[in-house]
Amino acid sequence: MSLRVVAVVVSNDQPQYLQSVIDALDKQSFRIERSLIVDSSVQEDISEILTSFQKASPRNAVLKVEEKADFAELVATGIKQVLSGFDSLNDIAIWVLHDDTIPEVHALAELVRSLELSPLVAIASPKQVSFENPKIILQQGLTVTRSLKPFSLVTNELDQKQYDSMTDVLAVTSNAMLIRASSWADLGGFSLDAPEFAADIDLGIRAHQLGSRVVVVPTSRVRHAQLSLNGLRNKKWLGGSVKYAMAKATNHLRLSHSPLTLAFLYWLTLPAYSLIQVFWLLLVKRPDRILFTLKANLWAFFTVRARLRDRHGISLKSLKALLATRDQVKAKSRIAFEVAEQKLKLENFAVDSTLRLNQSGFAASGGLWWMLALVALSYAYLPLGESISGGYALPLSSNWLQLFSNTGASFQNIGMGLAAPSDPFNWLLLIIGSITFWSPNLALSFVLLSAKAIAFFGAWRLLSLVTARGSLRAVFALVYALWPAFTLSQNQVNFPAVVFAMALPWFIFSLGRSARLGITTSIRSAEQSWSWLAASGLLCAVVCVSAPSVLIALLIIGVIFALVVRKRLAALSLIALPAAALMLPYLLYQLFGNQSLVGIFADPTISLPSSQESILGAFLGSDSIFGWCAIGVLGLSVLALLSRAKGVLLAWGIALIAIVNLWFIQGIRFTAGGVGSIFLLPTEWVYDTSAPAVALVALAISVALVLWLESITRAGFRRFVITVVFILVSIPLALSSVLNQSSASFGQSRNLPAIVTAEANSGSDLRLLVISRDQDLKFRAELIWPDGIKLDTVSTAYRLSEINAGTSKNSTMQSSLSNLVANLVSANGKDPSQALSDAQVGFVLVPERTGNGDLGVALNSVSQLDQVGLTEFGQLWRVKDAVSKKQEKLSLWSVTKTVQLVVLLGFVLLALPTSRGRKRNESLAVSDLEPDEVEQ
Amino acid sequence: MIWRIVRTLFVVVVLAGALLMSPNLILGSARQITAFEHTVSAKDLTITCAGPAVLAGGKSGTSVSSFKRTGTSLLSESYAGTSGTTLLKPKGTKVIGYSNRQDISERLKTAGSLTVLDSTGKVAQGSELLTVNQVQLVKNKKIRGLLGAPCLRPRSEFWFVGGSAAVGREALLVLTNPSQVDATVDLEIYTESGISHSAGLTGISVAAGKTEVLPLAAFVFRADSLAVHVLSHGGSITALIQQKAIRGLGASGADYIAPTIDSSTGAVLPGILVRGSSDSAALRKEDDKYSDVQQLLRVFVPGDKDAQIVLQVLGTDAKTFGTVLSVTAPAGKVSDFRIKGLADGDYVGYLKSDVSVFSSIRLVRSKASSGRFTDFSWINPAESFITPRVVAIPTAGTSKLSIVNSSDVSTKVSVQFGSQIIKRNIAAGAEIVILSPAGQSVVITPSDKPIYANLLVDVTGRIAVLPVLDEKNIGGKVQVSVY
Repeated sequence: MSLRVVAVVVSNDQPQYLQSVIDALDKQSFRIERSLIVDSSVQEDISEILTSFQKASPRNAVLKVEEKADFAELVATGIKQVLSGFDSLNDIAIWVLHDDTIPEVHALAELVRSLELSPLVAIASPKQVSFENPKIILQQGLTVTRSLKPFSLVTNELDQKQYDSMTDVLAVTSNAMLIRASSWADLGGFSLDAPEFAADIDLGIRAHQLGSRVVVVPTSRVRHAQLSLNGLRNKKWLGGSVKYAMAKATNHLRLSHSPLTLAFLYWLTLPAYSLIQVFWLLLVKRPDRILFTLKANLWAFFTVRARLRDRHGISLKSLKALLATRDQVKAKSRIAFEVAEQKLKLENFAVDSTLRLNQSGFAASGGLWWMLALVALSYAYLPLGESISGGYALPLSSNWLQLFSNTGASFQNIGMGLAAPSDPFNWLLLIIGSITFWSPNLALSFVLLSAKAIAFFGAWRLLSLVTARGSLRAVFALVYALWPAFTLSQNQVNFPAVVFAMALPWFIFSLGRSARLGITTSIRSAEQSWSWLAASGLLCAVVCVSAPSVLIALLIIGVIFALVVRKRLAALSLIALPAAALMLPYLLYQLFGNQSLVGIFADPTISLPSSQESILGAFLGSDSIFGWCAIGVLGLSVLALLSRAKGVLLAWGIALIAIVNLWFIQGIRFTAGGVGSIFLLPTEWVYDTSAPAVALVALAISVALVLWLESITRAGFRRFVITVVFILVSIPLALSSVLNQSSASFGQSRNLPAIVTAEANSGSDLRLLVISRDQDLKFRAELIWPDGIKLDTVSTAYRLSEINAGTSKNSTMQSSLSNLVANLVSANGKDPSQALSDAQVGFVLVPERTGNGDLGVALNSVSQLDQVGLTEFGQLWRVKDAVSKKQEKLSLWSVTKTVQLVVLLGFVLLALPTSRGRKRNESLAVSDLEPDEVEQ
Repeated sequence: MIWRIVRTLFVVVVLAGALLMSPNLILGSARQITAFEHTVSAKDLTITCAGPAVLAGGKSGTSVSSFKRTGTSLLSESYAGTSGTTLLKPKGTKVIGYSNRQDISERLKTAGSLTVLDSTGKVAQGSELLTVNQVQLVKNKKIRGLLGAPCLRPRSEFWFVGGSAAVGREALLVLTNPSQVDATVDLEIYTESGISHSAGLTGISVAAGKTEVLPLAAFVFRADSLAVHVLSHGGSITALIQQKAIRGLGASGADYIAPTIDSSTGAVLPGILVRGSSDSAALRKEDDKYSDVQQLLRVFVPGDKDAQIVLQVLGTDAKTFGTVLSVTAPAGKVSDFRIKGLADGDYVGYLKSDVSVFSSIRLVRSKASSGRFTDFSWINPAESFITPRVVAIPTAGTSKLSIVNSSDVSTKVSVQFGSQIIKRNIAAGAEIVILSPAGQSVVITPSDKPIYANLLVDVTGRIAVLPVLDEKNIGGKVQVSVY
């Protein structure tokens, strides 16, 4: 029985393409009984084509439908229309066409032949080839993976007739599909509940359920522009992006075609599964897919009834042979990876045509030995005790949970207590402390020991972006690592400044990698791009939180960076996200809570007495002899400006910005006081350390010098300069770092009397009041909470607050405490019991210091205090009858902390180098957690 | 090329300017700490006098752990309590305050305290309320000289710069605990060799209401130069060093060394009233046992950096020229520098140092003719003051008040003896010496500049220099910063 074919063309605002379809239909070698264009266009210019089509033959008809109807509705309406009037559907086949398709002359004939040859074939589909290049197969049959993800069997492959033996498939695309009218009637058409991509597969599965076959006919070819897939249509057939449509299709298929129990479980665990998917997508560096995946999951979760309506009790077990095999999935992934890599290489080549050089690696060029030498120079920081002390150092909370609790906290359990965000630097302390979570202080000590070595390594990597010469990289990385200001920060145990100097070269290096700048690039895939971007984001957060004093310079560098990478600005702007997440609550509090604009630049340290520093002093560091070597390098680097070398001016521009930043920040005086300040000498103001700004200058001029020396053609002169710098700068600075005494010492992590610590450890909420005399009738007092004085309880927000400054009108406790102290020190017999009780003071301590002796005498005469004795921290008294309450610990979690943690974790996952990026082409297959890996 | 030269020059200029000429401006400030101010009543003011001279050796004179008092000391008290206050004297007698100054002299046989009982709790403390000193001329064969010292407010920390434990010298540390709490005392003794690490320097117990006498030679045997740091825990104490000299077989010279002020880079030492310089020179020439009869600067340099010191000794009139010492004192050690060439006259010492130091000057006075003697007194740097201070003048001997204006502009000072008020102008950097009537209080009122003062007491040629103190407990307007 010969078939009669009716054609239904679904049209929407593509007049040019539509005309081509009409022409192609006319030219078909197989006669078409009726042709109907279902048009949902809104543009007027298509009317002429439709009119002309209608007038061309009485077999032609046009059906105008409302614009918002979806594809399935349009097809159903069209088919219903086109079949009207036929007595029997048995000899009718429907050819469904998209308006962006041009069937070849024999396309329909071949399809009809396949239906005629086998009565079991219900649906036949042609080979979909590229509109522009018909040698490329766009698609040839659809199926699903074992996890019910839509899978295109062939995608973007050169047609070498390698797939021409293919016949039976699970499903086919709706475009140019020829379906028996009887089968259409039996199947009820496309499911109206299924999303676009799932509808085709659903139809195929149902056809198989009826015992029919679905085949592709390779001899039948249609050119397909895939306007919807390429996002070139005004009308969003897919209801969003292609990836979103794919994700929806996957969810739909899983809920409608899995066994009921499995489908129910899937729906039930969808929220948790979404979370896992997010983590996975970050790990495999596909953060661009997170949003639509979540959106698709939400859609599936809340429209589950519609998905369930599409359940037909079909078991896919019988169709197992038609599902995508693991090998097919792997092969396809490999091809996708190779295409992406090739594309990236071409992009890289287009961006920078500089000669790519093969460099010797860090270890191969002796870098590890230099690192070892730098660790040896820092021998003074070999952890010989539980905790480091001296200078800016304070111990970390010895309990990891306490450390976690103090990080990202919204309330400060210090002094008078303050609802304010904790220092963003605490996140770094948490990360460092977590390395040795059983004893967080240990890792902190190792930071100082390895600081110079890590900074050297970072500078070496950074310089590898501008030179391939190992000697240049090693010598100038050494200069950076041994810079006097860095040594001074290390000696003063100024953790934020040390961490900044360590992280800065890594940050700039990763920025270079993200932006694909430099003479070499190791980016081989989009995944690696994401890795570098995430690493840059994390390192940006590290440098920002550890040195707010150089925020201005960093911001300007950020603007310069944005100008350089303006084409990829959208993605690269994500680099600022972790820093913003960590710092925003704190900065907002400084601006609006403390109403202190300059407060945002305050160092996250204790208020160790410091003085305003000149720029010369900042460069010399603590060594007024060897420090001049650094000034010499500065002078030498000016010569680089005379060269033609590219980038020298930019490097010097950054150096000058950092110098201006340094001058600016040294002009700002910050509030003293705060956590632990009672044990420090009294000071009215404190100043930010100059070290971060100097580190920025040191790095910039090192880069400038290397660029200059790299551009020199006379090798002898270059070698001479390198030798001079090594002998006259690196060696003296190394000597200086050994000779300059460090204020660090190792000992126990306890910095309060043992009895006070023991009381706190037992869960008591009693606090310690420390009193010290500054001048004749001027006293200071600090209320220390049971958590003690720890690095992670230092709060810059508190230090710059009205409470710390003593100008808050709301702190009755502070006023009462000051009155209590005045009465205690004057030993005038006033009963302090109530004030002591109100402030929950359990102990009173007077540090051993000149002028404090009389305080001890005064406190001895207070009958409400029992002298405990002389401790290593001063004279201690216990408050008689002090009532201990249970400690109110800080909550482990807060909304802010959760958000910050999620952002950080996301970036960590994204930054983690995964084997997927490198070996995907060898082994890894597409994961089920990526619902949209394969486009239909 | 021009562009490259221009940009290089620009960076050179900017860099040089930044390194060498960038001004240190204050561009912004965060919130400044403001202390809370509270007016609190102080505890009752107690002044403790060390009592008469102590003789080591006990009754037998040979016991190393026995001490006995000899003679009585003359207390000179100046009390100006208002109504509602009562002065409780050592012997338990009371003096009711009635807003007029009362000058009282009495003899003391042992250590004793005077306490102003203030029922109102509002009376301002200080020397205007109560000041007491003690002098004792001892002419014993074991000790000869004028012992003079201020009576002190008990406290927990003292520094002494003076004294010697060399052969023929005896330095006794007299610790008195007038409180009701036992005190534990730790000592740090520094000598010309550095700090002493002898046993027994810590944990010295001074029972409540008792006096302990410690011979410093027990800790630093034959040390020529001493500086002593006394730290008390528990009860508050007073401390003095009783120093005496034995020349040959006879005692010759004694003094109480009073606690000095905290270390500093600058010190003013008023009251260097040199007399009998030719006699001292004659004695030095005559016998080696008088070799130390000369003015001397003693310096103790705490810390680990040597001190570059300049002592300028200025005369009070055109006839006295003074001298200048420019020396280096080693860190952590006590150093003595002789002040040579001072003729008879009134002088003031200005000491400048590049690091904080403790200092004092030993003043000697001798008579080489009949009734020959030699005596000495340690002059500590004076405290500066801008508010009125009172000093009680002993009824014995001649007392001269030296007042110094260390500022670089002249200032006026008002000195009141009883109802008589004298107003004197003191030139910039100059000293005036005022003969003070015996047995009367002197009220010294500066005008606009801080001044320094010491009182030199001369009893038949023997001398003692008393500081002008302002003893008070913490009270009044107290500033407290709470974090």
